[in-house]
Amino acid sequence: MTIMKSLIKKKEGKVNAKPAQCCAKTSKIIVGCHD
Amino acid sequence: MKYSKYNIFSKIRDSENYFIINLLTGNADILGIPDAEKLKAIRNGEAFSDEAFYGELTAKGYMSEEADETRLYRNRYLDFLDSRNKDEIQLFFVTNYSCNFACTYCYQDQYNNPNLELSNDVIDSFFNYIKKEFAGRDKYITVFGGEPLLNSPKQKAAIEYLLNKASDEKLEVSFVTNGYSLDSYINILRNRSIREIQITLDGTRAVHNKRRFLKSGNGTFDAIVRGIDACLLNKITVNLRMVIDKENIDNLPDLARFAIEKGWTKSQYFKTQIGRNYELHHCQSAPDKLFGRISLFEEIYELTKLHPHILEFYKPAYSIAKFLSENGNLPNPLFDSCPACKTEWAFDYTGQIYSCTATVGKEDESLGSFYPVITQNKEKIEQWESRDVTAIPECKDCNLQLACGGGCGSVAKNRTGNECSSDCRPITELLELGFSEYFENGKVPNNFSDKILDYQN
Repeated sequence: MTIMKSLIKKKEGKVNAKPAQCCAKTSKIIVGCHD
Repeated sequence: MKYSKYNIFSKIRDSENYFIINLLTGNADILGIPDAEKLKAIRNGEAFSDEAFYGELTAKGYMSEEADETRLYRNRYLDFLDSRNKDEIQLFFVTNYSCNFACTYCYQDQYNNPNLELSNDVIDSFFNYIKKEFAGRDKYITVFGGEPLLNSPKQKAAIEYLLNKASDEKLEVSFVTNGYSLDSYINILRNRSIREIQITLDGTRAVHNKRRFLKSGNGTFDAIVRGIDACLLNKITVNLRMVIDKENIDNLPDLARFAIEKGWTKSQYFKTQIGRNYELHHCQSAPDKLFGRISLFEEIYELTKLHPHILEFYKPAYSIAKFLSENGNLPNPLFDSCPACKTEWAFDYTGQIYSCTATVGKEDESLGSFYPVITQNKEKIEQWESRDVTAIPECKDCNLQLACGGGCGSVAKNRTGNECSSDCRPITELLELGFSEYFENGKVPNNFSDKILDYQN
């Protein structure tokens, strides 16, 4: 029997999040965003 | 059924467990050793007998029919384009390339500083241009340099004029500043729509002053701290950046402690970021002092184990690991991590237009002008606009593409001469650290079933 543990709290496949880059929208005013 | 080409599967650092994520289907799981062994066998095309496990992998999209996966990829890509077209645009405005600092690692030190002055005509032309060119789009302005907040009456008048124009257009403004004269700008900045002010401190007093000093050689730490205090007092958001290399990383615990003791970390107007000191355009005098993309975060990972208070000051993203731990889901697939000419543009006081902060001020990177006349190099602009993981040959078969997004177009162009090439990120290694930090706390569980109970609590 599998014991794989999902880390997704919402219904699988239904993801309403923004892309990773956008989740830091207000913090991307940086030269370092190129890194 | 095939093992998905978008699976990212690896062992968690300092743990016996493994993780698997798939950004296309939005699933993330932790596996104990038995399941990890089964998954390795499946990935290698070996026969298996655990139907229940196979069923779970299929239900979560870790295994799929190739045609289904291709269709899902296409649909998610179209969603991404649609979403980006509605996304807010960041418009950088460089008031000058001159600076009162002589930082040891300045990437703009070889820039020309055209002997022109910022005039109200240029500011008017900038606002006229963005009003027409980006009509109907959400947008905000980030004032950039050089150092934009120089302590002179002329500069203060120009900044005030710019803020008035932004206010007329109902646009928020951010600043990137060294922070040295910030407290003298507070009266100009307070009660304005300031989104945030990025300020750099590279450590506590002695360490910072050795790296970020005035052209006269004098230290800058105390003045910057006064500026940060003044911003927080006036409810202006500060985004504190620490630029790290091998010479100051050991000071991170001290700077974190300093910020905590100042009460900054308790403020809702205070946030932080860490930037790697790296070679953007040209080789530095001491490249051996620089961290690589993964070695920096390996060091931070080890430091946070020794000094957990660092996490009160700064929580590393470790690719999408922090996002997953804080949100309980994965971010949408990142088909493009380069905002240049899509959700980011840069303009300077000479009237030139550029793709982003990495290219702004580089003569050969100009994409046109907004002053004194409007010109656009449409061919160059289209090259930047077309860059995403579907257009970068190296990304096409990479399993990390939807977490990496192809990296930075400017860095890629510096490497290959072509912005439509890859700037790879060490996604798997970052996730190995991040899953340990945020899901395992660096501890090796004695019993995986016990660990499941921990997650549910």
